[in-house]
Amino acid sequence: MRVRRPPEIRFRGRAMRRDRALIMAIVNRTPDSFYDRGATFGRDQALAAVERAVADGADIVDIGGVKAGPGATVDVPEEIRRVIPFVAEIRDRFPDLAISVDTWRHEVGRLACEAGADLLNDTWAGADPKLADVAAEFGAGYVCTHTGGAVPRTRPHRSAFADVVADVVDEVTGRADALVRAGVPAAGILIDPTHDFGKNTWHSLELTRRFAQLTESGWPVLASLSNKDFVGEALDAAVPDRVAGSLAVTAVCAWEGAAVFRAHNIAETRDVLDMVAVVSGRKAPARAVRGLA
Amino acid sequence: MIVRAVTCPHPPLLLPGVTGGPVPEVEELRTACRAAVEDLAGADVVVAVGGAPSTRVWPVEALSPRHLFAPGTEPLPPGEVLPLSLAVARELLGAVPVELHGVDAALPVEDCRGYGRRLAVRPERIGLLIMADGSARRGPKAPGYEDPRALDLDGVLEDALRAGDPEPFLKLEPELADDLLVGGRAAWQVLSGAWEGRATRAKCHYSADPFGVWYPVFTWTPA
Repeated sequence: MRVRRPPEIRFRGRAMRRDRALIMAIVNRTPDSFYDRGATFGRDQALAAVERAVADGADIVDIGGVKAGPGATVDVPEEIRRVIPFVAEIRDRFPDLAISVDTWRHEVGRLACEAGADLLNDTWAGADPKLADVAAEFGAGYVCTHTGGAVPRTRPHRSAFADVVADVVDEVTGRADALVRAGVPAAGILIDPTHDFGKNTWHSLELTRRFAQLTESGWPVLASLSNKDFVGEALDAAVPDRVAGSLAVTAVCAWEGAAVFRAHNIAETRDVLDMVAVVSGRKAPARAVRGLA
Repeated sequence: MIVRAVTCPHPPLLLPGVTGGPVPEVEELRTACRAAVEDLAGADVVVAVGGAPSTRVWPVEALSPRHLFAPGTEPLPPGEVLPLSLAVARELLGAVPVELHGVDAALPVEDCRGYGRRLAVRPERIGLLIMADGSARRGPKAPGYEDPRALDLDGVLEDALRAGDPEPFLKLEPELADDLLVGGRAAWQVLSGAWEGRATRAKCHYSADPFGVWYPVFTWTPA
């Protein structure tokens, strides 16, 4: 059991709860992302998704305008059009909600921070080095990811690692240290092993199995597992059939001390995280009376 | 002399933190117990009496048995552990000076009465806190399931508490009390000895069984 006092997490001065792992709800302003397939591309649908996520227990929303995998080109103006007005609207409607923007481009990151974003989710591992400068300028949070050097929006092809966990730990902690040197507030930095990005299913399973090596680095770890292909391949499950598998790996990584979970299925994820928090002793049972009357 | 007597139940639920989050039924009970215990203010000393593994006075600084019911992640300190009944009493009393008197839960009726009589002749103005709960077999969801005798027995005890009459507790047979999972037989029989022959004004603070165990909270004042 790995019960340790979780590190303080603060995004642009916004202190996050510490009694359980945080939930980052995925809200894609994209017509083609793998799980939602455009369900929240429209403004009204995306807004409803944020409202539902918050009601279900999300602590952070992660707004993205570009599908992670290959597909139709989304240039900077189009990504800005999809993301920035929506960030501004969410900031206005949900003053207490932490807002993350999933982008690798500094132009988008800058406008997002100006519109009120708290956290930059750099899913492509520093592909645009200027994104870190934006985080430093605004004091924003930052997610350090690992892609094995993959170019944005590409799939892994014959990726090989002598030790994938060591490779990930070295890269993400090295980037985190560099961000601190560049002036990004340390309390807002998360490291993300980035399951499946530049990695095959075996690599992602190994990262899950040895997740403790990430949490032992001392940096808060973001686990982005939800409905991903390694779950699908582990269970031979199509995208709609991966929720139980995703929740299982969520429990494993929560037990090993992950600080944040990026997820699609918020209510289910919250129940899993609350349950793990109660088992670990980090949180008290909601109502224990059986056998105690 | 006994200036007032209060009777309160002693489920583990009343120990701090045992319910995890707040449970409204437990908080209502706790509030009633705290209000009753306030009736003992003004006594020279509060003597708490509760069922225990043996008949003796426990040190007030003994460890709470909380971890026996709700183990946490902290290591347990070494030391003597209070019986549940006395730990709940200490919790309800807070900073009030208290003696913690355990009576063997199997102590014969006459010995319980004798213990009470000896308390009654002490010279100080004593506030007596009796830790006792009724049957835990009051329905199909009760901890001990349902026993048709439970409601009748608790009814007799409740009438006695409402009337301020210490006598009926002496008729409570140890074997039947054990059968019906009555947690307060010995302590109530101490009350019988301590309160003999007095006219009483009784006040009910609480009488309910939210979890299938009867929890009575009463104050007795000499009339």
